[in-house]
Amino acid sequence: MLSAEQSEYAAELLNIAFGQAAAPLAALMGRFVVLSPPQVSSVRRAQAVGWLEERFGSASHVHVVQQAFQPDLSGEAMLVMLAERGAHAWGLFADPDDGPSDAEEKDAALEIGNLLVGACIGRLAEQLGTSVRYTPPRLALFDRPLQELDVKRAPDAELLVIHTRFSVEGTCFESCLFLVLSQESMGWLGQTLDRMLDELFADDDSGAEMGMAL
Amino acid sequence: MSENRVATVPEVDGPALLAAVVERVAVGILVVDARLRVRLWNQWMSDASGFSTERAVGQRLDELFPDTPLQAVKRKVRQVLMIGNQAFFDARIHGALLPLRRSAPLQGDAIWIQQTCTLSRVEDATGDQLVCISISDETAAIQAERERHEAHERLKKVARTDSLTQLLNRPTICSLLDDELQRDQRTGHDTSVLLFDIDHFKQVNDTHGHLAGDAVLRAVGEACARVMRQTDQAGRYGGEEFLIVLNDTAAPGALNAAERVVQAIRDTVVEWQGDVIPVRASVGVSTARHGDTVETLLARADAALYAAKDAGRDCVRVEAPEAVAPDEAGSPAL
Repeated sequence: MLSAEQSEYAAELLNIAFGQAAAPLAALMGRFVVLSPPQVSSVRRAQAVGWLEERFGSASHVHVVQQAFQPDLSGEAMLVMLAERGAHAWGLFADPDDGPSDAEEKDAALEIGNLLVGACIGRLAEQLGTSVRYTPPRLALFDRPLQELDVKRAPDAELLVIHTRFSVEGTCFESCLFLVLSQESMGWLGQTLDRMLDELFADDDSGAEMGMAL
Repeated sequence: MSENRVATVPEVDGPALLAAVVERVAVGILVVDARLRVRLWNQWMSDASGFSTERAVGQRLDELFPDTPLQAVKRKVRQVLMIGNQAFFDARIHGALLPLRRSAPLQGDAIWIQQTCTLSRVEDATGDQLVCISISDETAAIQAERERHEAHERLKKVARTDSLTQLLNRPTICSLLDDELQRDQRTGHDTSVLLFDIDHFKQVNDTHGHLAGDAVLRAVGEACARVMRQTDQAGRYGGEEFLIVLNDTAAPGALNAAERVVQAIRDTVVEWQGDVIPVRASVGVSTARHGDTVETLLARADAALYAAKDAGRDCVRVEAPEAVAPDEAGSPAL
């Protein structure tokens, strides 16, 4: 796992990444987009359902999109989207009153998953000075009760949770992004964050020295 | 670890080799600009579309495929150019995105290719941003998935169905009732059951034979199906015993449903080798109470069914009313 200092810096980079992602998303959709600052925490996979129940409500239905990415930053992202109370994925691309078909809603859920995972991981990778490739997104759950989320495999795996609200002019779209990074990737991420922190402190030190000289 | 690099078309080392790979690879590869004008079109695309590379390059996709809706392609091309991520089309959702065919003589005529597409941003030697679309043929995989799914559904149906009456079998109807009772505990809705038995069924078997008995059972199954609502579930509970689960139905509604079932069975005519076999049934009705299980609810329905038998058969009896504690009944204080 990351140290407290590394986690704090990773959260800061994610914040910047999400800030950068909102503008192109808005331009793409032609509508006003708010991507709330992500709250970063971690949870064991076996506890993910309980964690989501606390935030979404235990009776919630969700869409779940999974997508793997690689190579430096490698792992799998799982985007859990609230699928009820008018929060239709399709509403982000068309008038929600149109009443999407299942196929349209599925496609929209996949597209939103791909966009948000791409925005988050892609921009984070940029911040970390690398690039990523993705597998096609997979719809693991479509409008199913939260409790059907599969947490049986690797129940002890530590998931990085990024909780954000994604709003597009009137359509409130709440989602949680879970990331599982591979062991190698965690090592790489730790080293990269350390290097970036060192550079940051080196800049601060030189700035301070310059300040003293002035 | 990989270094950060930008893909280019095809001004990289060994352009001849790269061009040969693009031509021979067993996936479709095309490169388009923001207006969907084709810049690269490999051999696979020519084979599947019928348009040679010379014919396709320089044309827009909507000119090549004027009858194909391409809004989704335009949207994703725009997305990839603006955000720089990859975008995808899943063959299981979009099917044949572009009208591409493959010859499949063993499956009949040429068939539309079910396409999974990946869109990635690339740039040419002058720095223009383009989108590379790679297309894989998922037709066989989807066909296999569909056949597996259909076989699975058939097996599931066989496992849930009573083969003689085509109603649900006992484990399935009891499991549905259990689910319904648990849902009622949360929602406060009412669930009622009709437990019924064909009158003098043994006599049918003894007089006309077991095949005639089977015909009667089938006819009763059909009669139930005729009078049930879509939300009701009916199953064969035992030899000549049937169970109907009425969702979201209180006692008065259940009594009406029971009367309809009795009448539908009375109206059933079973002709067997020149004889007409009259069919009648006795029905017990019960409505779930707080804390009921499948066993307790069916025990009361069974008692009501016996009451119907004792009352001369071919009729409906409702369970005895719930015993009310004297205090709750509002008995006068001493």
